[in-house]
Amino acid sequence: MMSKEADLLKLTVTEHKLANGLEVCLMPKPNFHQTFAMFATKYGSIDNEFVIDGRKRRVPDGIAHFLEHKMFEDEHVDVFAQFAAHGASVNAFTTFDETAYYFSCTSDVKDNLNTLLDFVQRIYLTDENVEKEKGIIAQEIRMGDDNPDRRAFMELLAAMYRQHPVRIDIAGSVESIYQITRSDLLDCYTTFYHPSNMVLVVVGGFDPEEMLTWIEQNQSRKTFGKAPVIERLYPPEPATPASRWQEVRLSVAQPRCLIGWKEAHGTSTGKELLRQEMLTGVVLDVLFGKTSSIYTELLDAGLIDKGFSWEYELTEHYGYTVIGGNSPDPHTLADRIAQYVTHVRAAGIDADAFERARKKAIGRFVMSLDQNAYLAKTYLTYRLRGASFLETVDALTSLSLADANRRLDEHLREESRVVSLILPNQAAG
Amino acid sequence: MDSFQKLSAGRCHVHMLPHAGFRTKEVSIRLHVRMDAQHLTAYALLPHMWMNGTDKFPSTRSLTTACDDLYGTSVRTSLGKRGGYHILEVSASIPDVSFVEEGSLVERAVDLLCDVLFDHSEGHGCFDDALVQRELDLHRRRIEAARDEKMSFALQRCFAIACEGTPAALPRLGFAEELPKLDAARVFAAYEELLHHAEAHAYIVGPFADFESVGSALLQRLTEKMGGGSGALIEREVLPRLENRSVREVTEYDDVHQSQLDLAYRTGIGYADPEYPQLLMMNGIFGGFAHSKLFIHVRERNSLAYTVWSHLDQTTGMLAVMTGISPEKRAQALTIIEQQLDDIRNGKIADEELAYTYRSLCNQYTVLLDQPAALANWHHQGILCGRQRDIDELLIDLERVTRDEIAKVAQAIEMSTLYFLTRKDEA
Repeated sequence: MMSKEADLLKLTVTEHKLANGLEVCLMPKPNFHQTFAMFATKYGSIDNEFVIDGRKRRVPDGIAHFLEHKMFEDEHVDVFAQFAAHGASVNAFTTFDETAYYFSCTSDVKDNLNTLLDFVQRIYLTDENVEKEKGIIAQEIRMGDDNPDRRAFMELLAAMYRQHPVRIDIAGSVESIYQITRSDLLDCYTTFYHPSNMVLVVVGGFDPEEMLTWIEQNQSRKTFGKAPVIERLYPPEPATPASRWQEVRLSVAQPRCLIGWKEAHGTSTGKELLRQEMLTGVVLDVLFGKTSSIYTELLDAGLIDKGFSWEYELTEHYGYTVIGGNSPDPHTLADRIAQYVTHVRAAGIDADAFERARKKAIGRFVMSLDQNAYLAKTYLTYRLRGASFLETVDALTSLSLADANRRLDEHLREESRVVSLILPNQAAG
Repeated sequence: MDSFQKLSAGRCHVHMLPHAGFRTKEVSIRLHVRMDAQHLTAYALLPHMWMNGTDKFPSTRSLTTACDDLYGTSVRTSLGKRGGYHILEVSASIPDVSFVEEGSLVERAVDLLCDVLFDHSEGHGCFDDALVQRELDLHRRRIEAARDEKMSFALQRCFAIACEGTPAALPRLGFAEELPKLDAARVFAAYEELLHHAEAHAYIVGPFADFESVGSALLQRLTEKMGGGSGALIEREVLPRLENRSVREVTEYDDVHQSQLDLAYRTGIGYADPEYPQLLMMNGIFGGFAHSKLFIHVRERNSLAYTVWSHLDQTTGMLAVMTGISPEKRAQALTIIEQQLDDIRNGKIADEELAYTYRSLCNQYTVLLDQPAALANWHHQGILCGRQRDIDELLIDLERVTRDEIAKVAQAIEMSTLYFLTRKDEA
């Protein structure tokens, strides 16, 4: 399969579905030294309730991330050492809806690919190695507790969502991870790590046909049971936020202020998801980017600093916008932004600004194709959500000013707005 | 490794490296100056100010609009520090959008980039009184906020204590107490001083159609504004090994959930030294990777930390260990860290550790060959450390390093500073 954009962008992508259900996406880049491979399951922190063998399971918070840590454990080999022996660097991450394992290397691609596929497709858990991990993850959680940007963001989602597990920290809490048992982890592994729930993306300097054969051979050596029918259970989520205002005190010099808008619902079709992401991104760039009137005004008033930024996330089940950053006077900032959004919603979006933001998004997309790791990760995340990242230029060129005004009107509504503040505690200063 | 072509005049140098297969063209101009307490706060402001407006585009808004009009050409400024040198940089990433737009964006983008650095006169654009006052306030907040990122703050504190009394200990952002003494006229004077003294290195890397003309136009622009004269000789900044082997212990308090334990060691070896490959191998075996001794013993075997790394500063030759732990585990963590170093000193290094570290370093450096911006950084690092190292040659040197040489490097280093950031109630 090759898309039109890919052709224009001098990038060939081939997608294959193997007999066991695994999706393989290959993006060869001739003359590159590096190969970057990412192997991911559509399984993240929000999948904490599901049906397995007709039995409903509610597992402790943070288990997807805990499982990510434990996958590196093997009875016979040291996974890190195996990669190091072939000059690869390996790592992994867990998000709300995805767990991904990846390596980067400049030699021995096939050996490293085998190691990646093998360590993720084999689990070795003992009561002892599960216990051992708890101290390490507890320190990871403590590190996050000291990070004001992360705290502000998680508190914002906790305020935004009443029921949906996106409100829970990806790593869980120190209390919840100490409840996790070997059998909980095995249940999750069996349910979510079947090849039919996974995608492998490889970008870099390799021959695609040879690579595909190699991957097929690796997979044909293993047997997997029948693909489980995964039934994920998410509680019903009202369109409006749980609370409008959240404050936490931490040892910080600069207060943080994040303002978010909750989408009433997610989007399940891939094409529409990509389009809505691009459209909302253009709207947010026009409204809050460095070329907006409000950016200069807030900077002049001393209410923000140059780290002020926006982001937008959309999945099948939830979506949200977040803007903000450091602010010495977060209450005034939140008020001023609320007034500004009311004003822009009435006045509409400037046509020139819209066109400029759209062109900028095209240019930034083109440059992102040079970043192999970013390309693999973004392509994969969209793929798991049913969308194709390489259709970005198409999606951007299809947008109109009327679309942008409609999006602004339906999304940035006063009743879906939430504020999260991190304020200095008494000891600070 | 492909080498850069160079055009030079006086203190100004343009380095060019064609690189096909990319859609991004990278141009950057880096000015470096020796840090001194008197000038550094004003210098630290400048990169943050330049994007506030030029004479032609007098506000951030009009300047950024001009960039966005070039298909989102990303123009940025940054403030760096390497040892006792300040590095002030302006850079542009220019997308190849030939499939939607006729003609090249390069010339306009390079013009804009030069304007960000040079198109300033006293009292105008970013040197307007109100804009300078605004930036002074932002800069005060920037300095204050540095302590909000506990892990990097702790490492910086440890490093500054370890290098006390040398220019390398001076703070990248400058001093908050200097800010009230600055105004638009003084900052403009500092800007002129900078152009008068700094050495400039510009880099042009990526799929450029016509390197020579872009390069010579850029050099002309640099020399017009900066004039002639020669750059300052790069001073050796490697801190000598300690004669009296006493460790300076500093504990500071903050209301943190996790304590930060950072250790600094003087190695006496810098980037330009012949022993540098041996030091790289030693650091890799000690704590540079996920197969390293620190990761295995502090994290995997004893579950004390999530983060534990060792890190080399090429300029000063300082080796730092950083880890985030529970406060009551300080003594245990310290014992385990020192034990790993002792094992290296005693040559307790498995064949696998040698092989894995060599291969991991190969991967780390070979990847740079795919990244134009990284190659520019590599080259500039060579300039600031007084020696250009070829990546291929470095890999050959690394392969030759022996267990005994690594042990010898480890035997010669001693801890100079122990820094601990923790909660008061645990003290």
